[in-house]
Amino acid sequence: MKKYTKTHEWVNIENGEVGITENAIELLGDIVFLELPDVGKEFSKDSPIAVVESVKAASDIYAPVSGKVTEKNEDLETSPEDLNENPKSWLFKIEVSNKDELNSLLDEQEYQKEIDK
Amino acid sequence: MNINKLKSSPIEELHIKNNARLVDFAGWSMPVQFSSGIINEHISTRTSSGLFDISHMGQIAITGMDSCKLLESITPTDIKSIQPGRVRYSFILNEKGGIIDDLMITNEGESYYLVVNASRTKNDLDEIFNAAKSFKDISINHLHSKGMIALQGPKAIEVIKSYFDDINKLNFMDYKKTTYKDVEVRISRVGYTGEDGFEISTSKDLLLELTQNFLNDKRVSFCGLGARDTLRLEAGLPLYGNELSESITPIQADLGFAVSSSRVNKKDFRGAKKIINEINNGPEFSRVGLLPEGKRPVRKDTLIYKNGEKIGKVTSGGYGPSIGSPISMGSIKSQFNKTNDHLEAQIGNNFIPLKITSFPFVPHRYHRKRKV
Repeated sequence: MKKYTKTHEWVNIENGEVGITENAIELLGDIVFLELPDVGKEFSKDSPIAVVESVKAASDIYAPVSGKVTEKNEDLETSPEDLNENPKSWLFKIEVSNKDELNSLLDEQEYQKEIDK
Repeated sequence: MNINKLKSSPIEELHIKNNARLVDFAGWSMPVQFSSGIINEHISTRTSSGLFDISHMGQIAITGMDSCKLLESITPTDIKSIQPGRVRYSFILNEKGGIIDDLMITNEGESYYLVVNASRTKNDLDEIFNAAKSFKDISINHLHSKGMIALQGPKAIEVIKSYFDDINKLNFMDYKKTTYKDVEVRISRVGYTGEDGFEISTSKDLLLELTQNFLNDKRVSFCGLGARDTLRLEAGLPLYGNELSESITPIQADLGFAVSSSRVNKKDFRGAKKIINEINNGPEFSRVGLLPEGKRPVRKDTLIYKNGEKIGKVTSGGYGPSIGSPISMGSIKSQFNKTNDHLEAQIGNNFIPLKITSFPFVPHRYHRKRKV
Protein backbone atom coordinates (compact mmCIF):
# COMPACT_ATOMS: atom_id res chain seq x y z
CA MET A 1 0.00 0.00 0.00
CA LYS A 2 1.17 3.48 -0.85
CA LYS A 3 1.08 6.44 1.52
CA TYR A 4 1.36 9.99 0.24
CA THR A 5 2.63 13.44 1.23
CA LYS A 6 1.05 16.80 0.45
CA THR A 7 4.23 17.53 -1.52
CA HIS A 8 3.40 14.70 -3.98
CA GLU A 9 5.80 11.95 -2.86
CA TRP A 10 4.65 8.40 -2.13
CA VAL A 11 6.17 5.54 -0.16
CA ASN A 12 5.16 1.90 -0.49
CA ILE A 13 4.93 0.69 3.09
CA GLU A 14 5.43 -2.98 2.11
CA ASN A 15 8.69 -2.69 0.13
CA GLY A 16 10.05 0.79 0.93
CA GLU A 17 9.83 2.10 -2.64
CA VAL A 18 9.60 5.90 -2.93
CA GLY A 19 8.35 7.85 -5.92
CA ILE A 20 6.47 10.96 -6.98
CA THR A 21 2.81 10.90 -7.92
CA GLU A 22 1.42 10.74 -11.44
CA ASN A 23 -0.29 14.04 -10.74
CA ALA A 24 3.08 15.65 -9.96
CA ILE A 25 4.65 14.20 -13.11
CA GLU A 26 1.74 15.50 -15.19
CA LEU A 27 2.21 18.98 -13.69
CA LEU A 28 5.98 18.94 -14.21
CA GLY A 29 5.67 18.03 -17.88
CA ASP A 30 8.66 16.70 -19.82
CA ILE A 31 11.25 15.46 -17.29
CA VAL A 32 14.89 15.97 -18.29
CA PHE A 33 16.92 15.48 -15.10
CA LEU A 34 16.84 13.38 -11.93
CA GLU A 35 19.31 13.43 -9.05
CA LEU A 36 18.70 10.53 -6.66
CA PRO A 37 20.30 9.96 -3.23
CA ASP A 38 23.18 7.50 -2.91
CA VAL A 39 22.68 4.13 -1.25
CA GLY A 40 23.43 4.37 2.48
CA LYS A 41 22.39 8.00 2.78
CA GLU A 42 20.44 8.68 5.98
CA PHE A 43 17.81 11.36 6.08
CA SER A 44 15.02 12.76 8.22
CA LYS A 45 11.38 13.22 7.28
CA ASP A 46 10.62 16.25 5.07
CA SER A 47 14.26 16.95 4.19
CA PRO A 48 15.07 17.52 0.50
CA ILE A 49 16.56 14.26 -0.72
CA ALA A 50 16.35 14.26 -4.53
CA VAL A 51 15.87 16.68 -7.42
CA VAL A 52 13.61 16.41 -10.44
CA GLU A 53 13.73 18.90 -13.31
CA SER A 54 11.41 19.26 -16.24
CA VAL A 55 11.83 21.55 -19.23
CA LYS A 56 9.84 24.12 -17.26
CA ALA A 57 11.20 23.97 -13.72
CA ALA A 58 13.31 22.37 -11.00
CA SER A 59 11.69 20.77 -7.93
CA ASP A 60 13.02 19.19 -4.75
CA ILE A 61 11.73 15.80 -3.72
CA TYR A 62 11.24 15.53 0.05
CA ALA A 63 11.71 12.47 2.23
CA PRO A 64 8.20 11.20 3.12
CA VAL A 65 9.56 9.64 6.34
CA SER A 66 12.95 9.29 8.05
CA GLY A 67 15.21 6.45 7.04
CA LYS A 68 18.13 5.19 4.98
CA VAL A 69 18.48 4.65 1.21
CA THR A 70 18.90 0.96 0.29
CA GLU A 71 18.72 1.13 -3.53
CA LYS A 72 18.28 3.70 -6.27
CA ASN A 73 16.74 3.42 -9.72
CA GLU A 74 19.89 4.02 -11.75
CA ASP A 75 18.17 3.34 -15.09
CA LEU A 76 15.81 6.21 -14.41
CA GLU A 77 18.65 8.51 -13.36
CA THR A 78 20.32 7.75 -16.71
CA SER A 79 17.09 8.18 -18.72
CA PRO A 80 14.88 10.52 -16.67
CA GLU A 81 12.50 11.03 -19.62
CA ASP A 82 11.29 7.44 -19.02
CA LEU A 83 9.43 8.72 -15.97
CA ASN A 84 6.92 10.44 -18.27
CA GLU A 85 6.32 7.09 -20.03
CA ASN A 86 6.14 5.11 -16.78
CA PRO A 87 4.87 7.56 -14.17
CA LYS A 88 4.32 4.84 -11.55
CA SER A 89 8.07 4.02 -11.41
CA TRP A 90 9.87 4.05 -8.09
CA LEU A 91 12.89 6.36 -7.72
CA PHE A 92 14.69 4.83 -4.73
CA LYS A 93 14.08 2.37 -1.90
CA ILE A 94 14.37 3.13 1.78
CA GLU A 95 14.49 1.42 5.14
CA VAL A 96 12.04 3.31 7.35
CA SER A 97 13.64 4.19 10.69
CA ASN A 98 10.49 5.24 12.55
CA LYS A 99 7.35 3.39 11.49
CA ASP A 100 5.15 5.77 13.53
CA GLU A 101 5.86 8.47 10.95
CA LEU A 102 3.90 6.47 8.36
CA ASN A 103 0.71 7.23 10.31
CA SER A 104 1.07 10.94 9.59
CA LEU A 105 0.99 10.35 5.81
CA LEU A 106 -2.10 10.52 3.59
CA ASP A 107 -3.86 7.52 2.12
CA GLU A 108 -4.77 7.55 -1.56
CA GLN A 109 -8.22 9.04 -0.99
CA GLU A 110 -6.87 11.82 1.25
CA TYR A 111 -4.17 12.65 -1.29
CA GLN A 112 -6.76 12.81 -4.05
CA LYS A 113 -8.79 15.25 -1.95
CA GLU A 114 -5.69 17.34 -1.37
CA ILE A 115 -4.96 17.76 -5.08
CA ASP A 116 -8.59 18.41 -5.95
CA LYS A 117 -8.66 21.43 -3.59
CA MET B 1 -3.37 35.02 -8.80
CA ASN B 2 -6.80 36.28 -9.71
CA ILE B 3 -7.50 34.72 -13.08
CA ASN B 4 -10.56 36.95 -13.62
CA LYS B 5 -8.42 40.05 -13.79
CA LEU B 6 -6.14 38.70 -16.51
CA LYS B 7 -6.49 39.95 -20.05
CA SER B 8 -7.59 37.30 -22.47
CA SER B 9 -6.52 36.58 -26.02
CA PRO B 10 -9.02 36.87 -28.87
CA ILE B 11 -8.41 33.18 -29.55
CA GLU B 12 -8.89 32.14 -25.91
CA GLU B 13 -11.61 29.66 -26.89
CA LEU B 14 -9.07 27.75 -28.98
CA HIS B 15 -6.69 27.53 -26.00
CA ILE B 16 -9.43 25.91 -23.96
CA LYS B 17 -10.63 23.64 -26.77
CA ASN B 18 -7.05 22.37 -27.20
CA ASN B 19 -6.49 21.67 -23.46
CA ALA B 20 -4.01 24.48 -22.87
CA ARG B 21 -2.32 24.83 -19.52
CA LEU B 22 -2.85 28.54 -18.87
CA VAL B 23 -0.58 30.85 -16.89
CA ASP B 24 -0.44 34.53 -15.99
CA PHE B 25 2.06 36.03 -18.40
CA ALA B 26 2.53 39.79 -18.01
CA GLY B 27 -1.10 40.12 -16.96
CA TRP B 28 -2.45 37.93 -19.75
CA SER B 29 -3.91 34.45 -19.49
CA MET B 30 -1.74 32.58 -21.99
CA PRO B 31 -0.97 28.92 -22.75
CA VAL B 32 2.37 27.64 -21.45
CA GLN B 33 1.81 24.30 -23.20
CA PHE B 34 -0.80 22.06 -24.77
CA SER B 35 -1.37 18.34 -24.10
CA SER B 36 1.50 17.00 -26.23
CA GLY B 37 4.03 18.86 -24.06
CA ILE B 38 6.83 21.37 -24.57
CA ILE B 39 9.34 18.99 -26.17
CA ASN B 40 6.88 17.74 -28.79
CA GLU B 41 5.75 21.28 -29.57
CA HIS B 42 9.37 22.39 -29.90
CA ILE B 43 10.36 19.52 -32.20
CA SER B 44 7.22 19.98 -34.33
CA THR B 45 8.17 23.62 -34.89
CA ARG B 46 11.71 22.68 -35.97
CA THR B 47 10.55 19.88 -38.28
CA SER B 48 7.13 21.04 -39.55
CA SER B 49 5.37 24.10 -38.12
CA GLY B 50 4.21 25.49 -34.80
CA LEU B 51 1.45 28.02 -34.22
CA PHE B 52 1.94 30.43 -31.30
CA ASP B 53 -0.61 32.88 -29.95
CA ILE B 54 1.26 36.17 -29.46
CA SER B 55 -1.79 38.38 -29.02
CA HIS B 56 -0.34 39.60 -25.71
CA MET B 57 2.37 41.50 -27.56
CA GLY B 58 1.82 45.24 -27.92
CA GLN B 59 1.08 46.61 -31.39
CA ILE B 60 1.47 50.33 -32.01
CA ALA B 61 1.08 52.39 -35.20
CA ILE B 62 2.77 55.78 -35.46
CA THR B 63 1.79 58.13 -38.26
CA GLY B 64 2.54 61.73 -39.19
CA MET B 65 5.36 63.73 -40.76
CA ASP B 66 7.46 63.59 -37.61
CA SER B 67 7.13 59.85 -36.91
CA CYS B 68 10.60 59.05 -38.25
CA LYS B 69 12.17 61.77 -36.08
CA LEU B 70 10.21 60.60 -33.06
CA LEU B 71 11.49 57.04 -33.44
CA GLU B 72 15.06 58.22 -33.99
CA SER B 73 14.80 60.21 -30.75
CA ILE B 74 14.23 57.03 -28.69
CA THR B 75 16.14 54.33 -30.65
CA PRO B 76 19.73 53.94 -31.96
CA THR B 77 18.37 52.94 -35.38
CA ASP B 78 18.63 54.78 -38.70
CA ILE B 79 14.85 54.77 -39.11
CA LYS B 80 15.02 56.62 -42.47
CA SER B 81 16.94 53.70 -43.96
CA ILE B 82 14.09 51.24 -43.30
CA GLN B 83 12.51 50.83 -46.73
CA PRO B 84 8.72 50.47 -47.07
CA GLY B 85 7.80 46.82 -46.53
CA ARG B 86 10.85 46.12 -44.37
CA VAL B 87 11.10 45.22 -40.67
CA ARG B 88 14.00 46.22 -38.41
CA TYR B 89 14.95 44.95 -34.93
CA SER B 90 15.58 47.85 -32.56
CA PHE B 91 15.49 49.10 -28.97
CA ILE B 92 13.85 51.89 -27.05
CA LEU B 93 16.73 53.18 -24.92
CA ASN B 94 16.90 55.27 -21.77
CA GLU B 95 19.33 58.18 -21.38
CA LYS B 96 21.99 55.84 -19.96
CA GLY B 97 21.83 53.54 -22.99
CA GLY B 98 19.88 50.87 -21.06
CA ILE B 99 17.17 48.95 -22.87
CA ILE B 100 13.58 50.00 -22.05
CA ASP B 101 12.39 47.40 -24.56
CA ASP B 102 13.47 45.54 -27.67
CA LEU B 103 11.02 45.73 -30.56
CA MET B 104 10.33 45.28 -34.25
CA ILE B 105 9.78 48.43 -36.32
CA THR B 106 8.13 48.11 -39.75
CA ASN B 107 7.89 50.82 -42.38
CA GLU B 108 4.34 50.42 -43.67
CA GLY B 109 4.64 53.34 -46.05
CA GLU B 110 1.95 55.52 -44.49
CA SER B 111 3.06 54.69 -40.93
CA TYR B 112 5.53 52.87 -38.70
CA TYR B 113 4.19 49.70 -37.11
CA LEU B 114 5.78 48.57 -33.84
CA VAL B 115 5.55 45.20 -32.11
CA VAL B 116 6.70 45.34 -28.47
CA ASN B 117 6.89 43.00 -25.48
CA ALA B 118 3.69 42.47 -23.48
CA SER B 119 5.44 43.14 -20.18
CA ARG B 120 6.83 46.46 -21.49
CA THR B 121 3.92 47.83 -23.52
CA LYS B 122 2.93 50.37 -20.88
CA ASN B 123 6.53 51.59 -20.41
CA ASP B 124 6.94 51.83 -24.19
CA LEU B 125 3.74 53.84 -24.66
CA ASP B 126 4.76 56.21 -21.82
CA GLU B 127 8.13 56.68 -23.47
CA ILE B 128 6.66 57.24 -26.94
CA PHE B 129 3.99 59.69 -25.73
CA ASN B 130 6.59 61.61 -23.71
CA ALA B 131 8.95 61.85 -26.65
CA ALA B 132 6.06 62.91 -28.90
CA LYS B 133 5.66 66.14 -26.90
CA SER B 134 8.69 67.50 -28.77
CA PHE B 135 7.08 66.97 -32.16
CA LYS B 136 4.09 68.46 -33.96
CA ASP B 137 2.75 66.07 -36.56
CA ILE B 138 2.43 62.75 -34.73
CA SER B 139 -0.41 60.33 -34.17
CA ILE B 140 0.09 57.30 -31.91
CA ASN B 141 -2.37 54.44 -32.02
CA HIS B 142 -2.20 51.45 -29.64
CA LEU B 143 -3.83 48.71 -31.74
CA HIS B 144 -5.83 47.14 -28.86
CA SER B 145 -8.32 45.54 -31.16
CA LYS B 146 -5.80 43.39 -33.04
CA GLY B 147 -4.71 39.89 -32.18
CA MET B 148 -1.57 38.18 -33.48
CA ILE B 149 -0.22 34.69 -34.12
CA ALA B 150 3.18 33.40 -35.21
CA LEU B 151 3.37 30.45 -37.61
CA GLN B 152 6.92 29.14 -37.46
CA GLY B 153 8.92 26.30 -38.95
CA PRO B 154 10.04 24.92 -42.33
CA LYS B 155 6.47 24.06 -43.43
CA ALA B 156 4.95 27.42 -42.39
CA ILE B 157 5.21 28.75 -45.96
CA GLU B 158 3.37 25.71 -47.35
CA VAL B 159 0.58 26.15 -44.83
CA ILE B 160 0.11 29.89 -45.28
CA LYS B 161 0.56 30.28 -49.04
CA SER B 162 -2.93 29.15 -50.04
CA TYR B 163 -4.46 31.94 -47.94
CA PHE B 164 -2.53 34.96 -49.19
CA ASP B 165 -1.41 35.88 -52.72
CA ASP B 166 2.30 36.32 -53.38
CA ILE B 167 3.26 35.47 -49.81
CA ASN B 168 6.18 33.38 -51.09
CA LYS B 169 7.72 36.57 -52.49
CA LEU B 170 8.44 37.79 -48.97
CA ASN B 171 11.95 37.22 -47.62
CA PHE B 172 13.14 37.28 -44.01
CA MET B 173 12.27 40.66 -42.41
CA ASP B 174 9.87 41.61 -45.22
CA TYR B 175 6.36 42.85 -44.50
CA LYS B 176 3.13 43.11 -46.39
CA LYS B 177 -0.29 44.54 -45.65
CA THR B 178 -2.94 42.49 -47.38
CA THR B 179 -6.55 41.40 -46.93
CA TYR B 180 -8.39 38.15 -46.36
CA LYS B 181 -12.16 38.19 -46.95
CA ASP B 182 -11.84 41.98 -47.18
CA VAL B 183 -10.34 42.28 -43.68
CA GLU B 184 -6.92 43.93 -43.28
CA VAL B 185 -4.06 41.57 -42.36
CA ARG B 186 -0.45 42.49 -41.52
CA ILE B 187 2.07 39.75 -42.33
CA SER B 188 5.80 39.82 -41.55
CA ARG B 189 8.24 37.05 -42.44
CA VAL B 190 9.82 37.13 -38.97
CA GLY B 191 9.71 35.19 -35.73
CA TYR B 192 11.53 34.30 -32.56
CA THR B 193 12.32 30.63 -33.01
CA GLY B 194 15.31 30.71 -35.40
CA GLU B 195 13.12 29.11 -38.10
CA ASP B 196 11.49 30.54 -41.20
CA GLY B 197 8.00 31.76 -40.40
CA PHE B 198 5.44 34.51 -40.22
CA GLU B 199 3.75 36.80 -37.75
CA ILE B 200 0.16 37.57 -38.67
CA SER B 201 -1.86 40.38 -37.11
CA THR B 202 -5.52 41.06 -37.80
CA SER B 203 -8.95 41.66 -36.26
CA LYS B 204 -10.02 39.35 -33.48
CA ASP B 205 -12.73 37.61 -35.51
CA LEU B 206 -10.56 36.91 -38.50
CA LEU B 207 -7.68 35.78 -36.30
CA LEU B 208 -9.97 33.21 -34.72
CA GLU B 209 -11.03 31.93 -38.14
CA LEU B 210 -7.50 31.83 -39.58
CA THR B 211 -6.07 30.14 -36.47
CA GLN B 212 -8.77 27.46 -36.58
CA ASN B 213 -8.02 26.87 -40.27
CA PHE B 214 -4.28 26.60 -39.66
CA LEU B 215 -4.82 24.23 -36.73
CA ASN B 216 -6.93 21.97 -38.94
CA ASP B 217 -3.83 21.50 -41.12
CA LYS B 218 -1.99 18.35 -40.02
CA ARG B 219 1.36 20.06 -40.53
CA VAL B 220 0.60 22.55 -37.74
CA SER B 221 1.02 22.02 -33.97
CA PHE B 222 -0.44 24.44 -31.43
CA CYS B 223 2.44 25.60 -29.19
CA GLY B 224 2.64 27.53 -25.94
CA LEU B 225 5.05 29.91 -24.27
CA GLY B 226 7.14 27.00 -22.95
CA ALA B 227 8.19 25.94 -26.45
CA ARG B 228 8.54 29.57 -27.50
CA ASP B 229 11.13 29.93 -24.73
CA THR B 230 13.11 26.75 -25.54
CA LEU B 231 13.11 27.65 -29.26
CA ARG B 232 14.34 31.21 -28.73
CA LEU B 233 16.96 29.98 -26.25
CA GLU B 234 18.38 27.48 -28.78
CA ALA B 235 18.30 30.25 -31.41
CA GLY B 236 20.43 32.40 -29.06
CA LEU B 237 17.80 35.16 -28.95
CA PRO B 238 17.55 37.39 -25.88
CA LEU B 239 14.41 37.77 -23.77
CA TYR B 240 13.41 41.02 -22.08
CA GLY B 241 13.60 40.60 -18.29
CA ASN B 242 16.28 37.91 -18.65
CA GLU B 243 19.05 39.11 -20.97
CA LEU B 244 17.70 42.64 -21.45
CA SER B 245 16.87 45.33 -18.90
CA GLU B 246 17.10 49.06 -18.27
CA SER B 247 20.61 48.59 -16.86
CA ILE B 248 21.93 46.57 -19.83
CA THR B 249 23.04 48.21 -23.09
CA PRO B 250 22.69 46.65 -26.57
CA ILE B 251 26.47 46.16 -26.65
CA GLN B 252 26.48 44.23 -23.34
CA ALA B 253 23.66 42.12 -24.77
CA ASP B 254 25.78 41.26 -27.85
CA LEU B 255 23.25 43.08 -30.07
CA GLY B 256 25.53 45.74 -31.52
CA PHE B 257 24.35 44.79 -35.03
CA ALA B 258 21.11 46.63 -34.25
CA VAL B 259 22.85 49.92 -33.45
CA SER B 260 23.05 51.74 -36.83
CA SER B 261 26.54 52.83 -37.84
CA SER B 262 25.20 56.12 -39.23
CA ARG B 263 23.79 56.93 -35.78
CA VAL B 264 27.11 55.99 -34.17
CA ASN B 265 28.88 58.40 -36.56
CA LYS B 266 26.43 61.17 -35.64
CA LYS B 267 26.52 60.33 -31.90
CA ASP B 268 22.93 61.55 -31.74
CA PHE B 269 21.03 58.85 -29.83
CA ARG B 270 20.19 58.20 -26.19
CA GLY B 271 23.14 56.79 -24.26
CA ALA B 272 25.43 57.42 -27.28
CA LYS B 273 28.45 58.29 -25.14
CA LYS B 274 28.31 55.07 -23.14
CA ILE B 275 27.38 52.84 -26.07
CA ILE B 276 30.07 54.26 -28.40
CA ASN B 277 32.64 53.84 -25.64
CA GLU B 278 31.58 50.20 -25.29
CA ILE B 279 31.80 49.70 -29.06
CA ASN B 280 35.36 51.08 -29.06
CA ASN B 281 36.71 49.67 -25.81
CA GLY B 282 34.48 46.68 -25.10
CA PRO B 283 31.67 46.45 -22.54
CA GLU B 284 32.25 45.53 -18.88
CA PHE B 285 29.84 42.60 -19.18
CA SER B 286 29.00 40.38 -22.15
CA ARG B 287 26.17 38.02 -23.04
CA VAL B 288 27.53 34.54 -23.68
CA GLY B 289 26.25 31.10 -24.64
CA LEU B 290 27.00 28.36 -22.11
CA LEU B 291 26.94 24.58 -22.43
CA PRO B 292 26.64 22.88 -19.02
CA GLU B 293 28.37 19.53 -18.60
CA GLY B 294 25.97 16.66 -17.88
CA LYS B 295 22.19 16.63 -17.89
CA ARG B 296 21.27 19.15 -15.24
CA PRO B 297 19.73 22.40 -16.53
CA VAL B 298 21.51 25.50 -15.20
CA ARG B 299 18.80 28.10 -14.81
CA LYS B 300 18.35 31.85 -14.46
CA ASP B 301 20.22 33.59 -11.60
CA THR B 302 22.70 30.73 -11.02
CA LEU B 303 26.08 32.31 -10.14
CA ILE B 304 29.05 31.77 -12.47
CA TYR B 305 32.64 31.40 -11.26
CA LYS B 306 36.11 31.22 -12.81
CA ASN B 307 38.88 29.87 -10.58
CA GLY B 308 36.78 30.63 -7.50
CA GLU B 309 36.05 34.24 -8.51
CA LYS B 310 32.45 35.24 -9.10
CA ILE B 311 32.30 36.65 -12.65
CA GLY B 312 28.61 36.73 -13.56
CA LYS B 313 25.32 34.90 -13.60
CA VAL B 314 23.05 32.85 -15.79
CA THR B 315 20.28 34.94 -17.39
CA SER B 316 18.30 32.11 -19.08
CA GLY B 317 18.78 28.39 -18.92
CA GLY B 318 17.04 25.14 -19.46
CA TYR B 319 16.92 22.16 -21.71
CA GLY B 320 17.39 22.41 -25.48
CA PRO B 321 15.11 19.75 -27.00
CA SER B 322 16.77 19.87 -30.45
CA ILE B 323 20.23 19.58 -28.89
CA GLY B 324 19.16 17.03 -26.29
CA SER B 325 21.12 18.63 -23.48
CA PRO B 326 21.01 21.67 -21.20
CA ILE B 327 21.86 25.12 -22.57
CA SER B 328 22.18 28.50 -20.88
CA MET B 329 22.89 32.14 -21.56
CA GLY B 330 24.74 34.29 -19.11
CA SER B 331 26.17 37.71 -18.47
CA ILE B 332 29.86 37.58 -17.49
CA LYS B 333 32.73 40.01 -17.10
CA SER B 334 34.01 40.52 -20.64
CA GLN B 335 37.64 39.62 -19.95
CA PHE B 336 36.50 36.03 -19.30
CA ASN B 337 34.56 35.76 -22.58
CA LYS B 338 36.73 33.34 -24.54
CA THR B 339 34.99 30.71 -26.68
CA ASN B 340 35.61 27.14 -25.45
CA ASP B 341 36.92 28.31 -22.06
CA HIS B 342 35.45 26.59 -19.02
CA LEU B 343 33.57 28.29 -16.19
CA GLU B 344 31.63 26.87 -13.25
CA ALA B 345 28.02 27.27 -12.14
CA GLN B 346 27.11 26.84 -8.49
CA ILE B 347 23.94 24.87 -7.73
CA GLY B 348 23.68 24.18 -4.00
CA ASN B 349 27.02 22.66 -3.06
CA ASN B 350 27.72 21.42 -6.58
CA PHE B 351 29.87 23.16 -9.15
CA ILE B 352 28.87 22.32 -12.71
CA PRO B 353 31.41 22.94 -15.51
CA LEU B 354 30.17 25.29 -18.25
CA LYS B 355 31.78 25.72 -21.65
CA ILE B 356 31.53 29.12 -23.35
CA THR B 357 30.11 28.75 -26.84
CA SER B 358 29.08 31.06 -29.65
CA PHE B 359 25.45 31.81 -30.61
CA PRO B 360 23.22 30.36 -31.88
CA PHE B 361 23.07 26.89 -30.31
CA VAL B 362 20.95 25.72 -33.27
CA PRO B 363 21.61 27.34 -36.67
CA HIS B 364 19.05 29.87 -37.92
CA ARG B 365 17.09 28.82 -41.00
CA TYR B 366 15.56 32.12 -42.06
CA HIS B 367 14.34 32.57 -45.64
CA ARG B 368 16.87 35.16 -46.76
CA LYS B 369 17.05 36.74 -50.19
CA ARG B 370 19.71 34.94 -52.21
CA LYS B 371 22.69 37.11 -52.92
CA VAL B 372 23.38 37.33 -56.65
